[in-house]
Amino acid sequence: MSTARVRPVGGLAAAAVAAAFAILLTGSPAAPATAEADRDVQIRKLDAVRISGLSDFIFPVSMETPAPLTDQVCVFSTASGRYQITATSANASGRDFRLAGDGGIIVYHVAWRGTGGYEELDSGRASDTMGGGSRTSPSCGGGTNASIRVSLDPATYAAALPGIYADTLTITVAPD
Amino acid sequence: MLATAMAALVALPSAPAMAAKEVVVKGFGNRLAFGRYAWLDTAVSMTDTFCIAGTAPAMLVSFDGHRAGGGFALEDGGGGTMRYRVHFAPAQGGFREVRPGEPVSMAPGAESCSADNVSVRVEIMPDDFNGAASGLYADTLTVIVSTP
Repeated sequence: MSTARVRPVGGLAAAAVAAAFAILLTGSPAAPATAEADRDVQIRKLDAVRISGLSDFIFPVSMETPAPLTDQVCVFSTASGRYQITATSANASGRDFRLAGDGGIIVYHVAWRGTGGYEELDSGRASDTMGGGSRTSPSCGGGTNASIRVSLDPATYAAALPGIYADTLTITVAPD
Repeated sequence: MLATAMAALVALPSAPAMAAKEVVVKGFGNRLAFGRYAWLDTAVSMTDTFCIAGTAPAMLVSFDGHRAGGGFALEDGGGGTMRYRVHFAPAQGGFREVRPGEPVSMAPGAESCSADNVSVRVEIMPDDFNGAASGLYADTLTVIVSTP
């Protein structure tokens, strides 16, 4: 505070002078003011899985048991790429997958390959833990990382009457 | 000397213009909790209002938090991140997306907070969410208001 050049003239006037100069001498532009406040933002991400790329299996007309068909699919799992597969036949009998037609039934087999070799599945029963699913890309970057194989049981195929046999196979993938 | 003193007293009316500037932020402390999701088909967002007031005719408002890729990011504590977006609507004007530390100029329009006058919207996009590993993601979003 610079009031040194102001000599008191006594009493109230002197006090007023000192006060006035005190304000003026700090009269450079006021210092910037700042205020801050925080708030938390949060979201919980649950494990997520996705399967894509499945197509219909159409076996050719054949006197002999047709060869197995395979399909390449994409599995996405945020659980470090691990998942379980459950395949369920709409015409299941127990754990058997079955095609149904006018001429009876044809048993078929379903196997899944994530990493390693194919694992045979039972209808309605979750598989062992599979690996190799994409952890970061729900579409697997446009590629595939698993395969499913469907094969017909020769004995029931040979015994079936000519005709069309069909089933709906539902594949359920769950994080592991 | 008496004349000097009188001159100083005459100058007093101009003193209030040089008084310290004040900034008030009120109502920004609530948590924005999005809940639990496994998959997002569309973006999720939460909007809240709060108050910014002060004696300055103009203020700079910016937001900051954990940063990733030039934007805001939630963290899962294990090194995983999830981008999120912050939109701010000043006292006059609509929402605009803001980047971390990017100042937005606004006139507070009020010297005290009697009612909310600004809005913030936090948004998480499906692509940022769906590709993230499972877990709890969080960040502390800070609003910084200053006078120029």
